[in-house]
Amino acid sequence: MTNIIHYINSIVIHFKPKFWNAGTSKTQGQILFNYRKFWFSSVTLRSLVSLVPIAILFMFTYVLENKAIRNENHLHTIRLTSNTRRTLTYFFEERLDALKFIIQEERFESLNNPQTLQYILRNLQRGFGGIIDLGLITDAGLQTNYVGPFDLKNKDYSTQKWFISCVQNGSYLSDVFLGYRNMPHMIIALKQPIPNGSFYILRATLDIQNFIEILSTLELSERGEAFLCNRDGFLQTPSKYYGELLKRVDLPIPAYSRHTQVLEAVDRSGNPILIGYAYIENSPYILMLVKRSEVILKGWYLLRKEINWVFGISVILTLIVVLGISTFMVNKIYDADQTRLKALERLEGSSRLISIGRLAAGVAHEINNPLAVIGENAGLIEDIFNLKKEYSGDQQVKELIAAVLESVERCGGITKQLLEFARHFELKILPLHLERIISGVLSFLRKEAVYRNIAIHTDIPDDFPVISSDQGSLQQIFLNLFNNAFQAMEKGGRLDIRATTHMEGQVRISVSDDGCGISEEDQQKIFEPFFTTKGMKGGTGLGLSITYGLVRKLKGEISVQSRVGKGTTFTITLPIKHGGDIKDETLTG
Amino acid sequence: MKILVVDDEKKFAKVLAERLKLRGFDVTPVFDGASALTQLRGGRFDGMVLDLRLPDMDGIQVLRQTRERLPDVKVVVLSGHATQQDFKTCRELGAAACFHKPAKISELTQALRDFREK
Repeated sequence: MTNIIHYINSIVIHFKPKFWNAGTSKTQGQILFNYRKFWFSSVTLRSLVSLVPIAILFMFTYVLENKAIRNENHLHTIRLTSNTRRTLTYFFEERLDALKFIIQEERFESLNNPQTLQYILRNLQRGFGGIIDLGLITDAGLQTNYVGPFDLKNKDYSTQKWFISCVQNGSYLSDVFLGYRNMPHMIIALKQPIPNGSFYILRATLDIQNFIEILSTLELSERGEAFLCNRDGFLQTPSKYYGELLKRVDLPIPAYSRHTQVLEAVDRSGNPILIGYAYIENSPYILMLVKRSEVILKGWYLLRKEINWVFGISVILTLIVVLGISTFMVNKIYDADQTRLKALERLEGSSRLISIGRLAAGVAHEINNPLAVIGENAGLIEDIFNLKKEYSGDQQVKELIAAVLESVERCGGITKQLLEFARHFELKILPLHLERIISGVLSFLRKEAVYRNIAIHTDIPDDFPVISSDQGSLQQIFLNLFNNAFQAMEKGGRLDIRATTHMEGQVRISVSDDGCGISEEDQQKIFEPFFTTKGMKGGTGLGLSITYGLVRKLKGEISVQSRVGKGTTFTITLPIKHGGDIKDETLTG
Repeated sequence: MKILVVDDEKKFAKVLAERLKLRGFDVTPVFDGASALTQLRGGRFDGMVLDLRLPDMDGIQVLRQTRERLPDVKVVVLSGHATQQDFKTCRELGAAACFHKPAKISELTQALRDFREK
């Protein structure tokens, strides 16, 4: 588990852009603005701009496709329901018309003859099929003649609902019922008046198997079915899913409509369904076609899946591009800022040095004149003492004056150094004595060296060449290197400065300390601006960077060798003759 | 020999003049460029100790005019805050020697005597 987390972390770190931690780490220096926030807003804005249109487009496609598929399904269901209704209506009407024809053609007496009626039934069965038996019923409700598979002759129907209804309306088409024979069937009955004011009724039984067949031949989708129910909602043909024959159907009974309709509903177990229905004219039947929505929408679900995939991939690709562009952009800005920041810091650093230089020069200037007056006055006193005999023997006064003059000379040396130090900020290539520059810089550090018991060894051979270089830059380079060495060392350290003639036309100066040393990792970054190991002790991280810049400006090179705990050596290689013009032949430094 | 000491720091000029007198020079101290040029025109001076920072004009100007009009007067520059470049210019204009303040009197007299012998 931890391994996996570690692995993920290493991947994340690999992809983490440079600016991510800008401003969070102490070594990063100043920060111009919050890159991460900027990155987030860039990603958000770009994502919105590119994803919202995609989302809208896909939503439209979704809605339109869904509607189209639904409409098509509704239409298909309506058409199928309507066709089936026509078939069923035709079926009923055909049989009713056949009975009408018979009742018009035959007289009561011939119909009452079992042989004739048997003959008619056979003809009907041959011509139309679907008729089980025929019966003749008198106005008293007594079945006087019957042909068919059951023994129903002389049955009394006078109290039966169908009989009463047929007497009233002249014809009757029944629901499916069990009746005396105790099996589901339906009947068609027709009333025929006779001249004496009485009437008789011809009744035929229809086999429900016929419409079960009509309904079962319909091409319906999986788990879809068609059945008939009466207007009270009782099933007239068998149903697989929505109830038992002659029991109430498990679905809502749709309201009466002359036309075929379609409605969406939910079945008892909560599945959405599509019901196509039609009231069959002149009959108690309602034709119902039921389809499971999930089945008919299968095509839509497949399409939707495809749309979702395309949408998902588009979103992912867009996000990758957005992330890429934003990261690239913020990285560029970050790089530009860092470059600018470094330039600014460099400028700030050098301008600070120039300010310090100016201040030092100003102080030196102001002190120099009174110092000269002190010197001259002390000199005059010395002169007078030397010239006048009454004073010349006074050894003590002479020594006092000598001490004053010596101090004046020392102060003069310091002010002169300060002035020299302040003056060299632009490159002035002059022939220089390196040992003078080094001892000049060391003179600033001698006090500290004594105080901290640091031994300084300078090894510059007598035949060391005069080099053409810039004094100010060299002073600063050495000051920085010596300061660094001092900071690396504890009390009782040793600073070695060694100069040798390197290859032809080059000199090499090494500055070694036996201080704390620099780790391999830090050696890589030591010349980078703002890199500091001094932490809170107040390093700007610019010292070695400036040094590096100055050495490069003098067309030299600087390198570092160090071992932690053993010490550090900085090696500078400088050309003896600088490429630039030699501006003065005077030896300085 | 007759020497003009030019320095805006009066105390310094007077004391330096005194010290040079003790060493056998005939010294006149002045404290600005204009009086220096007037003095040079009036009296026959052999040499001049010149500061580069004067209240009324630049010491280098004084040097230039002196060299143009009185090429025999030898000039020793003694400045508190001249740059190497300033000294270089002075030498190019014909100054015999250049010193930073505070300078040793022995070096100064040496320089004055050197050019006198020339």
